[in-house]
Amino acid sequence: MVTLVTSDNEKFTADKEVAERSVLIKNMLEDVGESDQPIPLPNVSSSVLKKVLEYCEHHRGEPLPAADADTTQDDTRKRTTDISEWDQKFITVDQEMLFEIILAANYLDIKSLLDVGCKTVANMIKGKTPEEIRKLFNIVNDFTPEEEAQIKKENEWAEDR
Amino acid sequence: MAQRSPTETLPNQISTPTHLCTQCGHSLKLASSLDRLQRNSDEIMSIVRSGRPPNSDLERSVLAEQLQDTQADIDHCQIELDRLRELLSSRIRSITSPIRMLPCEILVEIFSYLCTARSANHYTTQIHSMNISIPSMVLRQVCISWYNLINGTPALWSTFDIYNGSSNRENTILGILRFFLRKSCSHPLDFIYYHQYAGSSKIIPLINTAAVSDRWRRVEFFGVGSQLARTLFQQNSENDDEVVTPQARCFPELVSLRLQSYEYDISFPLPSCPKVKSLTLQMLHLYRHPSSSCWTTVRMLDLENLTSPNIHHILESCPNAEEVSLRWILKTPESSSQHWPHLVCTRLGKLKLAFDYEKLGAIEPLTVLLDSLTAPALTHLVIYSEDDHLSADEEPFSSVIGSICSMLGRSFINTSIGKNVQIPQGGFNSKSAGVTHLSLDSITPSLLDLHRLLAALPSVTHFDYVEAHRDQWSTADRVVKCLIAPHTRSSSDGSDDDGSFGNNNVLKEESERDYGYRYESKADEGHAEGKHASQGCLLPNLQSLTLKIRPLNDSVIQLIRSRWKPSLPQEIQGGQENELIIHTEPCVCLKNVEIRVQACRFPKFRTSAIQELKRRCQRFSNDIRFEIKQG
Repeated sequence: MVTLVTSDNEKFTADKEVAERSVLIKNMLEDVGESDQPIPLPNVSSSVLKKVLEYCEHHRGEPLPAADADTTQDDTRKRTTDISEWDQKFITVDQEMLFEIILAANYLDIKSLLDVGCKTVANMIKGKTPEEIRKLFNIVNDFTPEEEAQIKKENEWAEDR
Repeated sequence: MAQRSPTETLPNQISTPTHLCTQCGHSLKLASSLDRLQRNSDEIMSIVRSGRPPNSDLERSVLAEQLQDTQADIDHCQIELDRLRELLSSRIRSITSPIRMLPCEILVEIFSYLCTARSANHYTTQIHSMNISIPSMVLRQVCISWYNLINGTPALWSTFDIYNGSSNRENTILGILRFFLRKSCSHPLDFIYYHQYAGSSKIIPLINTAAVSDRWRRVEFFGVGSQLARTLFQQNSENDDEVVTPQARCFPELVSLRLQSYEYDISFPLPSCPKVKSLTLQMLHLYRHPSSSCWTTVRMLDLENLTSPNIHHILESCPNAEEVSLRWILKTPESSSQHWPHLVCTRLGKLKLAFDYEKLGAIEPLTVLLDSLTAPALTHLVIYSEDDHLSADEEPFSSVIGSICSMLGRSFINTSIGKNVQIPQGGFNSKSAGVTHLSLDSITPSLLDLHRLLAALPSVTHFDYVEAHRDQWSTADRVVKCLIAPHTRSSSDGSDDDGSFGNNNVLKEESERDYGYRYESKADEGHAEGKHASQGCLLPNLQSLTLKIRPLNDSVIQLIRSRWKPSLPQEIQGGQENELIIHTEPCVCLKNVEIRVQACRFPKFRTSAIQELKRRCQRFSNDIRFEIKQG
């Protein structure tokens, strides 16, 4: 078992096999060797770590991406935004939690979870107009009139040439 | 350009117009109202200080008018303040918006799912007009930081589909294409080109210039005629006068190439592609120039509508191919008469064979080709059909099964294979343990062929079976029954764990009445059962089973029980029921079972069949992982 300590000082215990789905934790455990010392995760809160461990538990035993795997090298495969049924249910959370999970997956180096998060955000954006995207994510239109004119001009330029 | 800052619009800071953005004019509105209010206030104060009352009607009406103006100015200021307050709070909300937590590299990752998706996705970069569906164009209009990020990331401009459908849109397409080519800088390009316009195109010369073709990475051309093929592979379009030899053409970054032709008999030498890994050729043969070396980098081959000599040549030219898919092999006079020299595909791990009942002419050349192949590293075998018009004529499939078994025999001569497989003399030594993954999708082999095939694949650990949509030959029933491992005391009547019978009789009646499906009776199966028993357990190493079939609960339960070895000792002690599951044949216990019940075809069983199957599988769930759902 591995003990993990969150940013809000809560302790979680998890099977080594589950915790090691995080490349960060796996590397830490390899560096430290056999030890009962808890692993501090200062960038992850307890509510987020709970979700992350739920994901790792569900995907326990599945093959991990090779250490030297580079997505750009996966040349012959097409990228899709398909998400499995369980993952979809798992990631149905509010926006703040969704982005926290993405950040945690990035920090803990759990590629499959990061992919699920990024695909979910991509699916939320898909098919929407700029105004709808702004509304969805509370983004303000901060273009100056000159910048807006510039974009319009670029679009016209692209179309006319 | 003047930037707006949220702090500039704080109401308590609005004292002079200079504190506000000079671009939008909001400040001027508020400032002029405030100025007027101040002036009115000063005038009224001077009247108050004079101590005299208004002494004429005119003076009173002027004061009343002034009061009205003042009220209007106050209202105007209030509206403006409310608007500014709302603006400010939306900007504050924006600053604290969760999406701002994401660093640029994650945003780029998210955007790449949108900007590099291919045509399977409706929200793609389809270059035919400057419309809302071009993701990079849409996303960069959201806010200035996204604009800068997207503009500065060439990868987000390097994937697009070009629909060259008519001459009147060609200038628009060219404009957008140039825009994408410029924004993508020197990043490798992934594109699909749909050639539907018969006239002389300006687009092909643009994407075929050396500067652009040097960046081709994953490229697909649809609608390739001989003229287009010649342009792409034989002449340098940058300068029409300068015709270069095919060998001189080089695509240094090309990793994946797909060419789909609409003309038969197009054949060109493949130019130099030092990095190519995947080749998909549909009705277009690319051959290796005698002077050039083999395409050793190619790992995946998808060949359709080619002749068996073409395919043989390509396989020979790609000695390191790991995945090969063959569809609709064209019949030529020589394909039936000529027997090709044996070809050993030493790295071929996955072989996909399409069997289409509408294209029976493709069967003979396929068998001829398979008869010449040996694949000692084969681990995955997929046999599938894409058409829905299933035939009762099982003979052609029988010959394919024969050729597959023969190929397996040559490839895995050292492994134990079925009795019906004829092993030619001088077979090749196997380099792998044999085929471990088998998939049969929408095909309808006879019971005998099924036995021959499964008997030739003793190493299979993963088996997927998908029942054809219009299968009237009870193939699913055959498949499931074939897989039941023989027992000493078999519960061949399909009785349930609790002693009741399942729904199969009702299902049989309903399906025969409403859908015309033919169910084989026990008497029909008698011959096969006897054969089955004499052959022993088929797929004895099966661990993972996926079935997408109609509801066949009794047979499925019988199959699972026959391949179940309880981990708890008490399970095999005691009760009469449990004695039925003791194995006599050596077979591995199932570990994973996924069943997608096509219950929608049988409305009465939409939920009940699945619920019943789940309930009946419950007792095995300590040892076998189940996933049962409507398929």
